[in-house]
Amino acid sequence: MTQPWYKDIYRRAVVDQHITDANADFLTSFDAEHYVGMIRRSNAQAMFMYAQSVVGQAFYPSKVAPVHANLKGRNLPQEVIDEARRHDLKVVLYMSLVWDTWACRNHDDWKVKDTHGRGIADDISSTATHRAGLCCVNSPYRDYTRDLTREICESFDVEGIRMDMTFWPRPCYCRHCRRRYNEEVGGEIPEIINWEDPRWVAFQRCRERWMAEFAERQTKTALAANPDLSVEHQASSIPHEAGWRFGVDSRLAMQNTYLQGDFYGGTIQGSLVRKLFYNLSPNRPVGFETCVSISLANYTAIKSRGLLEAAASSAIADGCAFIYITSIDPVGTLEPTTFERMGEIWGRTQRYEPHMGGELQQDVAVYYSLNSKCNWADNGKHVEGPGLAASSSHTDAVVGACRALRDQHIPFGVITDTSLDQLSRHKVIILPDVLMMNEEEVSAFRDYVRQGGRLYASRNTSLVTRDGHRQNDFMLADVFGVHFSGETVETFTYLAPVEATDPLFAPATRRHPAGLAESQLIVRPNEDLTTLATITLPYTVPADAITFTSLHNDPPGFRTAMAGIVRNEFGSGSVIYVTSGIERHEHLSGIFLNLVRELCDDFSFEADAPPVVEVTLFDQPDRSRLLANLVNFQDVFPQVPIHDARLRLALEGRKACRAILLPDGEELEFEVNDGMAEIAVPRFETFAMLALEYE
Amino acid sequence: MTWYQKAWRRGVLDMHITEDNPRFMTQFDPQRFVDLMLEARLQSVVLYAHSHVGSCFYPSLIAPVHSGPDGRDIFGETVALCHENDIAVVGYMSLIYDTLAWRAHPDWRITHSDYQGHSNPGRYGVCCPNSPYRNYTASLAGELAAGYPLEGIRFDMTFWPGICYCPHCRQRFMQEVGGELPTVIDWFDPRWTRFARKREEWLVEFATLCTDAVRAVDPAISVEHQSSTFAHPWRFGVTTPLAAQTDFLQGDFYGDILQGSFVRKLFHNLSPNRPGGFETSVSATLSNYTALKDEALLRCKAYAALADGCAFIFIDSVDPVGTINPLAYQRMGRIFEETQACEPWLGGELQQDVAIYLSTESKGDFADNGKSVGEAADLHSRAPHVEAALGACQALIGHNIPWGVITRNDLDRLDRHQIVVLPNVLMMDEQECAAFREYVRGGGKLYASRYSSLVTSEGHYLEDFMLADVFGAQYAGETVESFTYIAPAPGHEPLFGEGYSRSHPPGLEDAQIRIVARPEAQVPGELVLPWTDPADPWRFSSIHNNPPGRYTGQAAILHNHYGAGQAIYVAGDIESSENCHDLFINLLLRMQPAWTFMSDAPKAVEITLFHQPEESRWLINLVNFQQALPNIPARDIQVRLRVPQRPLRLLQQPAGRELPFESHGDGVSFTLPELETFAMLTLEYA
Repeated sequence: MTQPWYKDIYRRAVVDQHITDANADFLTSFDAEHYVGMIRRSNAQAMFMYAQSVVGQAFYPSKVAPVHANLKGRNLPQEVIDEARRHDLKVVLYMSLVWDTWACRNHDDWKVKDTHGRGIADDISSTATHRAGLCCVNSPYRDYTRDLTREICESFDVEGIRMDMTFWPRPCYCRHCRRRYNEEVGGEIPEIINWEDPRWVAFQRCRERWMAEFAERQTKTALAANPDLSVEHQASSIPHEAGWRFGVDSRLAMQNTYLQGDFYGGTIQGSLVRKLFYNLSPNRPVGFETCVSISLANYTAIKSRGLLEAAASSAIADGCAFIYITSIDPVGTLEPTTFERMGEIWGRTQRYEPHMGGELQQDVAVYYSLNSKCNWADNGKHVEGPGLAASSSHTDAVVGACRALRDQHIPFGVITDTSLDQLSRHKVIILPDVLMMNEEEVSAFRDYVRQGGRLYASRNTSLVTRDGHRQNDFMLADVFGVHFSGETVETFTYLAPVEATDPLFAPATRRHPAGLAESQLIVRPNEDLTTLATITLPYTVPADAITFTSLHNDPPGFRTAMAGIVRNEFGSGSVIYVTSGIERHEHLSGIFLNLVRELCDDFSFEADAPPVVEVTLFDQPDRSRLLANLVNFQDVFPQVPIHDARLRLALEGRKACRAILLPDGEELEFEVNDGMAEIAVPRFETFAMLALEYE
Repeated sequence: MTWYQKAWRRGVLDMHITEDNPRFMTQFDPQRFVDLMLEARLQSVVLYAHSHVGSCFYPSLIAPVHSGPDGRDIFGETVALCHENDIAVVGYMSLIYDTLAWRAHPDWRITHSDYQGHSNPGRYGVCCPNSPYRNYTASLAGELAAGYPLEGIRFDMTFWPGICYCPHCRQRFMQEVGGELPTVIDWFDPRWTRFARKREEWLVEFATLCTDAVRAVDPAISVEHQSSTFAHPWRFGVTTPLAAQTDFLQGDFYGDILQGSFVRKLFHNLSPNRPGGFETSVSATLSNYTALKDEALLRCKAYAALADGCAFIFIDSVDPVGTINPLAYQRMGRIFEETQACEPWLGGELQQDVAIYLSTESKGDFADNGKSVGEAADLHSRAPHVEAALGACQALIGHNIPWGVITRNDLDRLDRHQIVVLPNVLMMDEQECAAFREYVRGGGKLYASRYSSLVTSEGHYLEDFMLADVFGAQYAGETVESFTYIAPAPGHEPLFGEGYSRSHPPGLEDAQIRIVARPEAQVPGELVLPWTDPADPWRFSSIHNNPPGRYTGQAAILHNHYGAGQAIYVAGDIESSENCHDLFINLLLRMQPAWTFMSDAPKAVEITLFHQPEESRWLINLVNFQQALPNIPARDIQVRLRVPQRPLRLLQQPAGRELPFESHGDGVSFTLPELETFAMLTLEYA
């Protein structure tokens, strides 16, 4: 059986081509030989060629979609495919879903509508949304895209198809959505957000299901036309900061051959999403995309070499393909500098590719509930009203947990509900303020702990069902060893150590406990558990504007006996439950990590390296070796090189034979102490890959 | 020598504690506090006499007295103990922010533009300095100065917290300008601008009243007004004349590394006396005071202050009952033990080859024009001139170029600098323009961008630049397009840095001034417009961006020789955009190819150089201050100094370890083997 095309394709290129025909010169200088020549200059192995764009026009003689006016009979994708074939380049065709300016401007009935029945893109005060018309997947637009997908997949002989923008730009109240909601749930779609109102939550679950169903229809259409195609839907929407609005959960992932998405956030975002994709993707490698320019809006400004190399190296460290995005000039030309810069970088990084692969070591798994990407602070607000939360409290907690684990070099991964049957792979599982859970999740985590697993859970975890029913008690109350009793009125609170746990909290003390800008849940502990911290409340209620203690802050005043952190033994396992989302707060990351270490302190690796150096470890049993990656990713470039990093790899009963620096194979000295092989990592600027061979 | 000239290690204990609980401030122990200060190695302390709450910690006859100490004069007791232990005491007094005064005197309140609502009725009561509140504070200041043998008095919060429309302000405006206070922002409307200038003037007058009240009692007492606001947006109403009411500038800052570096350079030149003081909280934030900052972060901040010749001041908060967290003082004690060793070498004149000009009258935003003062939540949040100034500083630090920040107070000594940068100076007056013209005529080099010299400080948008002759430019309008490009003119591609070309020029997320080049000016850069107007939602070229399409042939960068000097004018504020920093630096290099020092130090390392002629030496400071801490040590940093004297010895202080160096005809070069956080070197010369 032949290997799928994407299996060893780690270098991929996207040239954005959302070009209108507003000017008669646009795309008239497009030259496939020049185009493919540029892609080759970048050392790319695969490319994404636009068959159709967000503008809505096709770049080939389509019978379904309008054709770009300046083509004059040309078929740009075919020209590129022909040229690419001559150079053994893989080609994936691009098409846009939901975002289609032409369709939106010509079909009022297809538009995503607000609660007043206005097309979202009709708001000409917003140039961005107006340029990109937004179509509803419940409207007849779905048939249009099906026909277009079929035409594209039948017309071209390529490796795959990429469907971009498979998400809800925002909640839609068009007549088609209203009708479906009425048929499937009954009544009108609610306009007031309330995550504890089953009707509102039903709307959200419908949106997720409708989007997954739309994606499935598209995927099936593509595969019916050509079963050998790989199919992708834009996957950056899964962990997107827009949260619940995009209406995407793990079901969308199942409609992909592999996950790939474009990201523009910081280093922790990249690290998190790659680990999420690693576990969520139906196949590997997954793809991490970002633009070569400093932003999509300023495409002539190219990122520095150092930044691009760090981004590309990070992808390698997580076992990912790296995909750069650049933009075509409106007339159809490409600027060589971009491609030369990527060619230079990939010229260096491609030497590591033969060594990639294996199983990522994820001693600690951070659980990301894709159905909890909301914020209860929005409850009671209008769906289009001002003041909606900018982020999801659960996602913030996930990010905070990952950041702390990464910075302290604890092997971690990110899992979702698709991994519930594999929980035993992990030594510790983190449930970071998981806002909504279903019985399947609850039962999986209970069994995990019962059989010896170690669980960290915070705040609202297991208090509300996935369909929006608030419970009287935690669904995991037996596992946590505490029962829900209420919530503090105070929105700035403190956690104070008990005598035995002072070291876990240093430099915070009982007199000066750790403060956090959130309330805490009040819980009733079982008698046989261990309290690790209690809640201290401020002297006065922070919301009281008249009676207060201190101008700038709300000092701790009342030491309560209320449990703030507890440890419970359940079955063969252990649990730490925290009444607040401390992992969200960077200044409390030390306490969070100490709690994780209370649960487990024997990890697959340890590292003495600055927090900006991320370490990942893969086991490659087929090659009898461990593969360690270190990426130096600082905020300012060029970076300060790393001289004195040390790595300790757990042998777990294996015998270490040889340590080498890849890709050149330079042998490194190592020492074995307490079951760990310790290696001094030679000086590196951006990336180091080491292998420890064992028997 | 005054107390502050030798006090590099200072502390503040925030005591904004109410009386809402009978236990509050009952356990304050002056001896314990002084012991902790000694543990922290403090040389001076800002001690609360009167807080934002409005109550006093001494037996005032004017203001309410805090009931917690129950008749004890904890302020006086602490002053005496501090003096016994050789700790200088600065009495703290809050201005404008006075909750009890606000609650007791509705007539004193700062009032919103609808003439109805008053300012925040919550914790922070803010009083108008044009109301009778001014007399209250002056009396209180006099009482405090007369009551205790203080080294200094610190007036906090000497700024406008909001735009006040109270009857007192309205009356003053009516008398001094005529008519009602304008409620619509328009920086091109002389009436609005007059209002802004009046606010600035009134604030200085209020500060003078308070300063004079102290000096009338004892001229030897140093006076400070909160100085963190000089680079804050216009609504704070703080301009350079406020500095004259302060013996030395000191302020608290909570921003990034660049902000710290910028304000310390500003203080170096603007402060009537040195050292200036850089304050920050020892806690993660003021609102979360039990969370202490990481020791590595505090160490970096303390050394960064030292590297700029500033005192470092940490702010702690008292517990409501009056106790104090000793950990903060132990932590700072360890840090100050290190920094203290470097103090004997401090002092001298900062080398500022490039001076960034900060116009405190230009902290508005023309984008606000037409908006009502009270309407938009995002109003006044930006100060494009300050952003451009900060951007210029960031570029200079990144390229290891000696720089400083100057204001109109420095107009008579511009010739200290190789280059003066006017970063999108929104408003200027004749005095400033005359000074810059003379500077260039005399051989100086001037970089100016965008609006510089186009709008007067009174709000008149002129028909041409006041410095048109210096720039070699004639004003011809503004682009309609809000995303624009500057392309290299043929032959000037290298100026724009790697990655840019004529076909792919650098883009600016803003409009540009349209200019016509005078015949004598060179044109290294040209204006390029996008294919379509970015604001047109219907007709566009590309979904995500606005690609360059229309090559206008009009100048966007001018290089003009004027008198014995030269000027470069850029039609957009490229210094604001990091993606244009190479271009910005290359334009400076076009005028000035070499600097007093040059280095290959990483961008996270800032170098400062002080000349100490009385000691026959140069002082070189290197601070490694990375975003993520602890720092990754930088190794083998090459430094080249261009100094005229004959070098004798290069020593790494405080250890006095000799470092090898290489002499050149015009200076020395050396290698610093490793830099973890701070290195101080002295180059002694014959």
